Amino acid sequence: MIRWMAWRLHRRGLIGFAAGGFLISFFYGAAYVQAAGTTAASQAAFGRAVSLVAYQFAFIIPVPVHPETLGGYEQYKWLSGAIIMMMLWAGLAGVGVGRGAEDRGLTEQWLAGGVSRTRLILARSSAFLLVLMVACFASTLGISAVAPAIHQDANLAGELGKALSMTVGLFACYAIALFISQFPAERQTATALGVGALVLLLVINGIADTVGSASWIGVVSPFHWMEKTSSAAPGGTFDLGGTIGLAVAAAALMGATIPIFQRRDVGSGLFSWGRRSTAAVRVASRNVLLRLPFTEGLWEQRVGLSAWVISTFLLGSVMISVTKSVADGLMSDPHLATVFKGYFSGSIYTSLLGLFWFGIALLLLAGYAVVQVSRWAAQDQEGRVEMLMSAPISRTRVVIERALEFAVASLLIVAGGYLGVAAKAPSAGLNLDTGHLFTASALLWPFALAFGGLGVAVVSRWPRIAVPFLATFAVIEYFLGDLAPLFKLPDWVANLSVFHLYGNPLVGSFSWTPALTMTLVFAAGFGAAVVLMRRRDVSSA
Amino acid sequence: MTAAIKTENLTKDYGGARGLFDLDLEVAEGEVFGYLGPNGAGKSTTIRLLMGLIHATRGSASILGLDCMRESVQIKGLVGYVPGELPQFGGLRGRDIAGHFGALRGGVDQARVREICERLDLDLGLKFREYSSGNKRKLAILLAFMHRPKLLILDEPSSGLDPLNQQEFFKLVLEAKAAGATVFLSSHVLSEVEHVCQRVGIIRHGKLIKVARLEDLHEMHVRRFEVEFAGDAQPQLFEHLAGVENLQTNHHRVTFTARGSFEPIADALSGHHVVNLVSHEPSLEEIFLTYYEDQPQEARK
Repeated sequence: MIRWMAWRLHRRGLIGFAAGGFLISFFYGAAYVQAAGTTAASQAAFGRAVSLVAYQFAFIIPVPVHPETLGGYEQYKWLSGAIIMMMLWAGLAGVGVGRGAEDRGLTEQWLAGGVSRTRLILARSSAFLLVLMVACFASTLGISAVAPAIHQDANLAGELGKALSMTVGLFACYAIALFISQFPAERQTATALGVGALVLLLVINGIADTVGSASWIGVVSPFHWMEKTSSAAPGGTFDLGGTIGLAVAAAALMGATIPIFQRRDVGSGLFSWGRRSTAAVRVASRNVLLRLPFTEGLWEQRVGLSAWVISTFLLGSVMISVTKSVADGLMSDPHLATVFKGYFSGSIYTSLLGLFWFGIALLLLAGYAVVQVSRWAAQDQEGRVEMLMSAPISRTRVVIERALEFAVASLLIVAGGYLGVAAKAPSAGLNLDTGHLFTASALLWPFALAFGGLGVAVVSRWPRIAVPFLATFAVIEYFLGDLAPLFKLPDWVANLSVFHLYGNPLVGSFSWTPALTMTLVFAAGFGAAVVLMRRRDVSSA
Repeated sequence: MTAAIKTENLTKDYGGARGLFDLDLEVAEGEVFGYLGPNGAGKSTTIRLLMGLIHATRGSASILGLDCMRESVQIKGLVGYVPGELPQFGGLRGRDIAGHFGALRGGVDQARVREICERLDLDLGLKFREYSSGNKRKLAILLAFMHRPKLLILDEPSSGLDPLNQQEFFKLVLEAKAAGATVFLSSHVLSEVEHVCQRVGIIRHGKLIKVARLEDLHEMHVRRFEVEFAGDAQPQLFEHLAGVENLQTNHHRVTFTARGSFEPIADALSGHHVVNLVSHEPSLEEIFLTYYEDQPQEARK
């Protein structure tokens, strides 16, 4: 029974990552011949071009191995990004198993039903391992499925090797989050620390990959060991030692988690400080931020929002810091310098920063929109919207407050990123056009608002499906923007992707069209949200 | 006088015979009305319709003369509400929650907050997730009572409270009534209703089957009799009497239940040597169960 329940609790992730992974892998396979052509010469030229562009993202995504081949292209273009998305999933699953189930009362029920703590951890973790394995194999096998149809090497053994490496590496990520989740007093802190640790390990790997003198620090990161297996590309390698090492590390973390779980109280972390004995409080807070739902929302998420703003600030600073060294490294090669000068118009630094930092900022803001919608959906299902509507405020006002809350929060994050880049630019040795930098940063806001508008519309009527819907939409939008040029789709199709619509305003001339279109999406989402919220039944049951 | 609550033909049909059907109900201003029914009978659906949280399939509902859906914002300025399922406020502290809802409602003074907290022994310094289920319920009661509303809509408000706090809660309800407020209190805990209500409505499978004053409900209903004869028991004396049920014999003793007047039973006993006669007043619990046990099989389905 517990195994079945454990499986069931991961069903959405399984469906999303397995089906989505297979389809995206399949489409990238189909796009390969569109982009690379069918002759050996055109594929070789394509591989060289991909390699050149790939150096810009070496901080986040490893440089490709044989990108001129179907498997190598897929490994670089899809699996590297899939690993980051699945890392977030594994981290949230680890914290969910460690602490989330306790908040929902499931752990108490299982323990009361006679399940031992060891068995509980093992059953839930083995269920996630199986789910992860299915998702990883589905994410690689789409390419093998499409290969015969486009007369390319299916490289089945290599794909299976890469899937195995991903499964083990991502399970190690899960085990890290599970282990960390045992310590803090509260689940929210556990989530921040667990997922934050994985992001830190990703950044450490990025530093190791791009800063030669710091390459040794990569050994602590599971991403470093996953990268060492590149068998999805024909001629790539399967790193048996690294994969076994990851498996041993995951097992050791599980082994360390179980005694901590046995030692701590259910519902508390290992480190739970007792509440100081103070006089009972009998008065309501006079905090002015609590007077409106939207400022109350900002106040409630002040810690998380601060983390987003500071992270964006730091990430912006790091990105601009490494841009010059990466660009100088590339330009020192006369052949690459010639190609880059042809590929980019204007300053190479500015062009690289536009792709380097703003590409990531878009993903971050889409991620924030999903997080915010998840918060609203939870409030709906936990009865807070019902309680809010027992106060004399209208449904329209609830929607307006949500839109305001999102607008202010996303503006703070955008400002954090802008300040991080602008503050570091002088010392980074980049001669940036401050007007362009401001415009490109400012345009991130309507981009975020477009996602927020759609999110607020869906969550106003269908809170239960809002998060998977928006997450799926974000993924589709991202890959539409990525795949549309490869399939040579018309511009209007590509512009259906907000990512494509945003473009690279740091180097291009300013156009009102993207800003207005994205603002229009926000306004339409907001308008739809008002109508949908007024028509729906509000009930936590 | 305007009815505090008035519904006409109010229906919320979820399909599969679930929901609320054709509710005609009127609660007068200043009244404490008990709304009784087992789980799933339609109590919370009624309350959510009154609060304008869900839309009626047909029919209408008004509170203090205002339409529950079209004028729900004005209504909520007059209402205090305890939901059946308590909302989750996560890491917010009790004082923040009280401050937030106090600001949204307006007209809340700290003295009132302090008074209720002291009476219910509620510490607002804790985070919501640190509260026990009883303390969460106390916080919901505070949010409902702190602005001295004209109408209190309370969905199973005292479940989870310990007996001392239940008594304090009943006092709060009676004080609100004394101050002129109307109280609509749903419950399946009958002692709640017996303590404070003047009239009750009984709902079953989404249909209101009875509205009566509490004393009428006691009077009109079933009593249980134990008759002890000096010689052999004589159950045949009661078999033919209208309203007599559950006839049982044990040596010299006959027990049965009877509806309506006592007079036919007294007539039947005249001329017989009766050693002991006991008549039990039914508790509200027994009345309540009688309503549910009497339902036809089709209705259960």
